[in-house]
Formats: sequence, C-alpha cells, structure tokens
Amino acid sequence: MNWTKLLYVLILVLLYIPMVFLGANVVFPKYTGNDGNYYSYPVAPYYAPYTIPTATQNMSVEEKAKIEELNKRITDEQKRINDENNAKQKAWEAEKQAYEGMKYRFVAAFNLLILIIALFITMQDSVIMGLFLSSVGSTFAATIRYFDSRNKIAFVILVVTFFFMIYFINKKKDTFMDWKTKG
Amino acid sequence: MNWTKLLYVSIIVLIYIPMVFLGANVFFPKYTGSESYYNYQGNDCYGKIPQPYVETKPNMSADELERVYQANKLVAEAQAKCQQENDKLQRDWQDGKNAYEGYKYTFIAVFNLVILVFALFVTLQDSIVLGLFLASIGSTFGSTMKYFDTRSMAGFLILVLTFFATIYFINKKKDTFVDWRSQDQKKRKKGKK
Repeated sequence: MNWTKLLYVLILVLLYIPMVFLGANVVFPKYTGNDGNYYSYPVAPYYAPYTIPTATQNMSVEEKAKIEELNKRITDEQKRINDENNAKQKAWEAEKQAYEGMKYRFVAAFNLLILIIALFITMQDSVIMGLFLSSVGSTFAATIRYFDSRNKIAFVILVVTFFFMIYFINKKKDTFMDWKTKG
Repeated sequence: MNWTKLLYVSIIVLIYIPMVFLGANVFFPKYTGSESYYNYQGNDCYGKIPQPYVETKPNMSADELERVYQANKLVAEAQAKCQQENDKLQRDWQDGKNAYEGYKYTFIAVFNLVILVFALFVTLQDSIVLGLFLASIGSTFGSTMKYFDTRSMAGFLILVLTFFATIYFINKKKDTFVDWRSQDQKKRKKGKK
C-alpha cells in the first residue's frame, strides 16, 4: 500500500471541503454564525406569564362580565402577539431558505467545475483522486446542509454532477490509481 | 515500515501545531481563555427586574384584577426590553470577537503558507519536509475549523493559495518522495534481485 498517496488524497480533501464552505460564507455572509438562528433576534416583548383572573361565585353579574372581558383581552393580545411572531419567523425562514438556495447553487456549481477539471487535467493521479473525492464529498455535505432550500437549479446541478461522476469512474476505470508502493 | 521516519514526522507535527496556536494567542491575546465567552454578569434581567408575584384572590374586584394584570404586563415588557438590550450587547461583543479572530486566522494562515513554501523549496531530510508539510496543512485545517465563523476574506484567499501550493507540492514531490521502507526491507529487496 502506498501510504504517501493516501495521505496526499486525504490532505487535499481536508483542505478543500472547509475551503469551499468558508468561501461560500465569505461570498454569502448572511444567515451564518450568530445570524443563523432566528431566536437570536429580539422577539416581541410579550412572553411572560400573566396571572389569569378568575371569576368566583360571590361576584355580581357585572363583575363576572368585567373579568370575562379582561380574560378575553389578555387571551386576544397574547394570540395576536404570538401570531405576529409566528408570521415574522416564517418570513425570516423563507428568506433564509431562498438565500441558502443561492449558496447551495454556488457550492454545487463550483464543485462541478472542479470535477470537470479533475476529469480533463493531466496531473499526478493522487491530485486527481484528491480533487475528485473533495468535489464529491463537498457536494454531498452541501446537499445535506442545504437540503431544506429545495432549490431547483441546484438540483439540476446535482444531477449533472452525478452523471459526470459516473463518467469519471467509467473513464478512469478501476485501476487508474495504483496504490502499490514502487520498488 | 521505517518507524523512525514516522516518529520524526509525528514529533514535528505534534510540536508545530500547538506552537502556531500558542503564538497566535501571544500576538493576539484578546478573546482567549476566560475572555473567550460573553460575560453575563450583572446582566440578569430577571434579577434586575423581578416579576411581582401578586396572587389573584377570590375576593378581588375586577378593577383590582385589571391593576394586577397591568402591573404584570409592565414588568414583562421591561424584562423583554432588558433582554433585547442584552442581546444587542452580546451581538456587538460577538462581532468584535469575530473581527479580531479574523486577523488571527489570517496570521495563522499566512504563517502556515510560509512554512509550506519553505518545505517546498528547502533541501532537508525527507521526514522533516513531510513533517513541515503535514504540520502546516494540519494547522491550517485546525484554524479554518476554529475560526470558521470569522468569514475573513483575507484568510479565505490565503487558504485558496495554500490549496494551490499543496497541489503544487504533491505534484512536484511525486508519490514516493518519502521512502517508508526500513533498512532491512531495502536489503531484503536487494537480495531478491
């Protein structure tokens, strides 16, 4: 077994995958790090528990009506604030998905480009294998990471990547990488 | 297998990686150790603005209940406002930390790139060259993971350069530049011939 070759392949994979994701975050900086979570944004100031007044048997009809009206007001206000928060969160999530869809497209297209380069460039076989594995690994990770973005263009790129991958394996055959040590 | 070579490579990697990170912390001492996380002390909104626990009793009139409700609402709103202000303080602190760590990441990436280029062109024992190469790559990988959220443009560009330098290194040194075989294995091979 040629361990040096295996080491080279691993090194390329190790550098390439974080590089692609870091690049994606540099080019598309929104919704990353601290901004990646909706709950880190300030919410409407209405989430503390309130004492719900209760009507008792000793109360007059007017008193009971007042309390009922008060209860209704509290419930309505809480419901309104809740609905507002839910709508805001949904809008934020939708915007995030759309943005991450573009990011996924960028990552997938870049990986496809690298796959094509690995297919046609003439270099050492461990470099080509490293680029091939990095590109495939990065595409896989991006697909899992941005799965919810449901981006059509990115899906098409993923399908094209899949066919290129099959073409690559078929072209390079089983033995393009000679793992045996020389000498 | 030449275990001495492997030992030398491992030793270089083992010393180099912590050395680089320690060096980065020496030159960029902020936001490290106990200062690496946001200190909430003195910012406890629920301690600063406690909720008045007013029980609703059966004999309370509707007006009294309304007053209890309004008092509780005021406190809840004050707590939420305090919480929002705290959130903003924390986010500002985090932004400052990210910007600072962006410089740190750039520093580490540049240093590792210099070492990689050095390993590429200097004539030394192959285990030293491989040790420097692996240490530089390992350290770049570690720092990329550690400072991923900094989104440093300069750091990213240097990472791209490092990647190309790595490809150049591998392509230049070829597959077998480190001969892992021990002296005995070499002798046996010669004997067979």
